[in-house]
Amino acid sequence: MNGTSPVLSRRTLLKAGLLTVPVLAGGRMLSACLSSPADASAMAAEPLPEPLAYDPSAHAWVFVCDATKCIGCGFCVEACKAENDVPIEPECNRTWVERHTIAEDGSVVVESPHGGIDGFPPASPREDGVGARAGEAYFVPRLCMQCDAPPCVSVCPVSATYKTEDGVVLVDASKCIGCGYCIVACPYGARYIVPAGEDLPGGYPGVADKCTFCYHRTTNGLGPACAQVCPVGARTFGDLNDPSSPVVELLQDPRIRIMKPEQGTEPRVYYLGLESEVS
Amino acid sequence: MAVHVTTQELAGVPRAVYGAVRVEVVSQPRALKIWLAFLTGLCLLGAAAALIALPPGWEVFGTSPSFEWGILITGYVFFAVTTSGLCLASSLGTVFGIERFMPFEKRHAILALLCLVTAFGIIALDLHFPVRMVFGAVFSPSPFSPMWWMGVFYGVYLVFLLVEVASMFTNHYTIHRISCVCSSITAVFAPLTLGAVFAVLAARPFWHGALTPPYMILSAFLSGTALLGIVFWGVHRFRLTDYERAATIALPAARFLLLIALGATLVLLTMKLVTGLQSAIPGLADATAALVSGPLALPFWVIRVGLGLVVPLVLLMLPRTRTPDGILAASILAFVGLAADRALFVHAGQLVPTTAASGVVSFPFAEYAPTLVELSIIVAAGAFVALAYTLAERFLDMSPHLGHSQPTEVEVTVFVPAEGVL
Amino acid sequence: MARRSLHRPSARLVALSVITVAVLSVGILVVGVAAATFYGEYGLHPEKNAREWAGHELAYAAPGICQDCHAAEYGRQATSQHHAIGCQSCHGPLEAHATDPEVTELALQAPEAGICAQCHAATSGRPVGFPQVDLSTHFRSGECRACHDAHSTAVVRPPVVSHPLVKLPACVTCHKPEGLKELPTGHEEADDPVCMGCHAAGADGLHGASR
Repeated sequence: MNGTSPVLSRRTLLKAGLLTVPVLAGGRMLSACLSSPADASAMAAEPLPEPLAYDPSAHAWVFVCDATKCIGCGFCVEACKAENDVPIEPECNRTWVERHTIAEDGSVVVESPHGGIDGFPPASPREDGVGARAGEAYFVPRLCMQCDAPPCVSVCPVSATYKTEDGVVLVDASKCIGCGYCIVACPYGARYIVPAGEDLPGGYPGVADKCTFCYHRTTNGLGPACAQVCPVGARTFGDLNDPSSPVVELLQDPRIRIMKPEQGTEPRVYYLGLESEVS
Repeated sequence: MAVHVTTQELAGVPRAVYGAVRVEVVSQPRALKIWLAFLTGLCLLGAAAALIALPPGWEVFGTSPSFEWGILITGYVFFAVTTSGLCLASSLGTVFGIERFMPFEKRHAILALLCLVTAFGIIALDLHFPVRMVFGAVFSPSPFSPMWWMGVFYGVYLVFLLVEVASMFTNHYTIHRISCVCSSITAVFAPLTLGAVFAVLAARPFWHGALTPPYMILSAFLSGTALLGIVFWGVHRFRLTDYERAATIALPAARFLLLIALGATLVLLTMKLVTGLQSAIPGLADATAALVSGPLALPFWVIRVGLGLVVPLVLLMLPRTRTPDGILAASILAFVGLAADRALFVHAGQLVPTTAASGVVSFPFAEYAPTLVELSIIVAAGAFVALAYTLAERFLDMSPHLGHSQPTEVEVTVFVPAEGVL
Repeated sequence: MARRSLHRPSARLVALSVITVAVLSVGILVVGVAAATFYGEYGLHPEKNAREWAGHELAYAAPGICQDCHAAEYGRQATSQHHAIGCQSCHGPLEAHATDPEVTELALQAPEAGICAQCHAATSGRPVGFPQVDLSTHFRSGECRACHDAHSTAVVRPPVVSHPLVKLPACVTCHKPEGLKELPTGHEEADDPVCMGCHAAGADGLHGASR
């Protein structure tokens, strides 16, 4: 190996090596075409969806969550999964409920067993047996904040996620490459990659997915499923452009807060009754 | 160099290849055979893992919504950053014309190309729709996204590297110089964009901030230099092409660069720790504390700091260990420490979860453990680089452009396919 | 600058490289055309994707639509403490049933008893004043509907047992001066041996059947 030419002719080796490249590349490309979901080619063949009678620019959807009313029943989580075919196992949550327990030493324990879909156990279990200060626990409904300055939209390398004129952040599943950048970028943990398994409406395994404010309901004059089934009215959905909407009055409450204001995301989901720093 | 060639015809290329490979394998020294067999075995293991992981097999990865970037991203960052580092180190010779760094530029370039191809291979396995990325980046680009810039820069860098390596072996000197300059410039900006991918995320305070992109460049420099130290030791020890310059020029140069890189890394790491631990930014203090005294403390202090920074620095500075073997030990340890640093960096950034309900969260930390499939892919990636580089060292002419090598007489038997077959 | 005289690429090498590049280019072109069709349609106009999202099927019907057919339950609920709860909160998604009442797959499923506990079991975190019970000490806690009507929230309290539960006299436990006592409703599946010794339908050796 110190300057002797090898026995195998470099030419032959290079030829053989170069032959493998078109074979491998062709195979990879074939598999890429075949493994692309059937939706991709089907979507190209289907006619474009009908233009909506609904005018997105006339609406400005916002959501108000009232942590003083939430009872942690989990009906909202169940409704979202039923309405949007969100997988239950493995667990992904477009919306979920958290219980915040302020322990005796002042620390906050946050728990969300399966997103709260079956309700919550009677008391907050902690291995060190830290109990709650009397009365200092509350439930917080959580969902995608549909931010006005969304970090997820700006970091997507292929512009697969975008914000509509009425304020909803959606994912174009046909463009999403599944890199996961939007999932790590979201400060609220609202996004997930669809796990392997069944296709969802609007998504399939490998692409990013998130709460859409039940866009198929809001564009037809209804509210999101979670807001509709809440038995205590902890979730209120409405149109800022409509003066008769309940959210307009709710937002005038001076106790209204947003989550993680230091992130600068300008969320469209507002909170009442958050007592401490919420993570 | 005078070469006496006798040719022997074989019918058909496959037979020619088979016959040639057989003769070649038989004629190899035993240690080399064991080394190549070991690496090939690891590569096959990784190929099997990659087949399992091809869509729709992603459930074999250990990632979850709370921890979406796992060890495959670590591997990609590691190899992409090493590529840039190799080019940064070699650019000292080609771009700045510093004579003592020039002789090994072929090795630099080939290693850089191999590392970059490996990085792309790893990321193709991690992305759920890799082919879409190529088209999406062109048809629906997003200049606001640092990942888009990273894709552009590394793609362009791949093209420049290919031109550089091709022109190196076909003696197109002007093209080679131009492509060297271009790839060196890209080698500076590419890890900057890679650092920016992490640095823009306000949601992940451990990664956020202006310090991360320069940290990536420095890390690139360190990993490139460490890898070169290992390679130069190999050249010297196995008496590969141009080994005389390895001991006299290349190894001391590598030692010098490695010292600078290690020192600078130590300073920057201290800065990161001190500012992180006392920070009022929510999440940053928790993540840094997890690194320093929490679940990541053992790998951090023992592997990253101890074995990866302190021991190599000591080895390089003590007069007794300023030998090729000492430099090898320091390089290997620095390389391993750097791999640990990449893994810890990616892990610590996602350790503090954004919410209690996504993925696997064992309050107060998010959890991730790499699966066997992921580990096999990473190990095989390293094995592939080693295997391909060993073969390149064996079959390609590594002597420098400027005719420094000694003339020798060589007897060669060459198997060629019969005329008209190809 | 000295150049090496060897290593000039052969014609065959060049031909092979050209073939490889050609194959790769054709491959990329084919995949590109396939990709460009839907990228071209959707690439610069996300509104079209938004329209797709808007076109999905509903699972939950509009609120208040149940009243058209189920006015009785609606009336019972309208004045109860549950008046603000929509039907589908407990009965699940009913759009399929609302558009075609023949579809009863989900509609006929009465909510399970556990659904009451999801809201009303005593759990840390519920707002002060919200009606909760500690199920471990509540009456027959597995069977809420025996005493509670979910729509009207009316409570039919179980009758107070008028006789002592120990040392029961042999005859008066079952026989009163006017005749046999009626078997109380809602206790069909109870397992309290003291009561069911006399009150079980078809209990051994005690006149059998309901009493």
